[in-house]
Amino acid sequence: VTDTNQQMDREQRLRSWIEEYRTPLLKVCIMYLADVQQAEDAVQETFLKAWKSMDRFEGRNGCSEKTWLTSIAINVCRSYRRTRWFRYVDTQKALEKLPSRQASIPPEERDLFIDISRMPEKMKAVILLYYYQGMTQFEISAALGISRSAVAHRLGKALDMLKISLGEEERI
Amino acid sequence: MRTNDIKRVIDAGLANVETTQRDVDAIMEYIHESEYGKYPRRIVSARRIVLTVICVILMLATVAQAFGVSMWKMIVVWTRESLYINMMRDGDSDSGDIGEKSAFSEAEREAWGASVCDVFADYNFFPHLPEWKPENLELESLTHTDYGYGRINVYAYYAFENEYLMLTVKKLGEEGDHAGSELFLEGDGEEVQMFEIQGVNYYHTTNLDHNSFAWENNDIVFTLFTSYDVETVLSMLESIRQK
Repeated sequence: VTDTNQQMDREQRLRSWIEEYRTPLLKVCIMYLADVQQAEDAVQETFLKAWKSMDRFEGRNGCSEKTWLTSIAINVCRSYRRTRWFRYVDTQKALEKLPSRQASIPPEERDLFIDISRMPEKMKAVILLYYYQGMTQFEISAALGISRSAVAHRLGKALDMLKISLGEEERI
Repeated sequence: MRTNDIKRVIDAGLANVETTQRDVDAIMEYIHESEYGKYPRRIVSARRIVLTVICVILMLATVAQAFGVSMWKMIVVWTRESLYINMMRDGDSDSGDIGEKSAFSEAEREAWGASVCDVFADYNFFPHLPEWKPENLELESLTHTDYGYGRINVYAYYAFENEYLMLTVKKLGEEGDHAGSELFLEGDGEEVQMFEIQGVNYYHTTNLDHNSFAWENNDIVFTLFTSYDVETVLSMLESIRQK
C-alpha cells in the first residue's frame, strides 16, 4: 500500500511538472531546434528522463525544478542537434511552419525573434537559458558543461550579434 | 531593443504554443508505457533506426562485458568541433586499485581546501587530485550530488581576479546506467590534444577563452575548465600522485 501511495505521489508530481513547465520548455526547444515535431519529442524525452531520475533530483543542492528540467531539455536538444540529420535544417523554412503569431507582432520584434532562432547553437543556448528561462550563469555553466566565464563571453557575443543592448541595471 | 525584450518577443512569437490536458495525458501515457510496457508507436525516422541499431550493438557489447568479455572501457572520439568520451566502469583500472586510497594527502588538502576534501571524505571517496594548483584561487562554489548506486558528482569552482578554474569529479556507479558516463566537450575548431602523464591520458580542447581537460582514473571521470594556459594545467596534472 505504501509503495502504491508513493507511486501515485510520484505520478502526481510528474503531472504537475508537465502542466506547469511543458509550455516554456516547448518554446525553448522550438527556438533551439526550429522544428516543432522534434521539439515536442524533445520535451517528451525530457519528462521521461525527469521521471526516471526524479529521486535523484532531491539530492541536488539549491536547484529549482524549473532549472533542473531546463538543463535536461537543453541537453536533449543538443543531443538531437549532434546527429547530422539536423545539420541541414533550413531554419528559415522551418520557422515559417512554427505555430506563431508572427504576422501580428511588430516587424522589429519579428526580426529579433527570427535572429534568435537563427543564431549559432552555442550562443542561442545561453540566450535562451539566461534571458528566457532566467537561469544564473553558474547554473548554465553546470548545465552546458562549460565555464562560467565562457557563459558570460557567449552572452556578450550573442548580444553583439543580435545588436541589442543590456536592460537597465543589468550586468553580465 | 533591449535584453528585457527577449522573453517578451519569444513569448509573443510563440503565443500559440500551449499545453492542453490532452498533451499532459499523452506524455503521461508515453512515460507509463515506456516504464511498464512497450513504447507507443511513433514515427520511426531513419535517424531512429540507425540509433536503435547502434544501441543494440552497444547493449550486446555491454552484456558481453558483464560476462567478463572485455569489449571496451573507454571510447574517445573527437573532431575539430567536439570531444566525446564514453566510458564504462570495469573496476579493473590500469592505473591503480580504487580501494587503495583512503585519505587525501596534506598537499591535496592544501591545494583544494578542507571544505572540498571534506565533501569527498563524507562520501568515503578519495580521488587522485593534483597536489598543486595556482595560488590565490578562492573557492566560490561547491556542489555535490549523490545519485545512489555509488554514483557521485562533485563540482568546485575557484576564481581569483580574471582567472578561474572549475573542477568536476564524477565517480561512476556500480551497476546499470550508473556504471557508464558520457562526456561531450564543445571545441572551437582547434585540434584536440592528448597528453600522457604517468600512464594516464589527458584530453585537451580549447573553447573560446578557456582550456578544457578531461581524463579518467580508477573509474572516476575528471574535467577541468580553466582560464589558465596549457603549461600551467600540465604542471597541475604532473603533480597528481597516482599511487
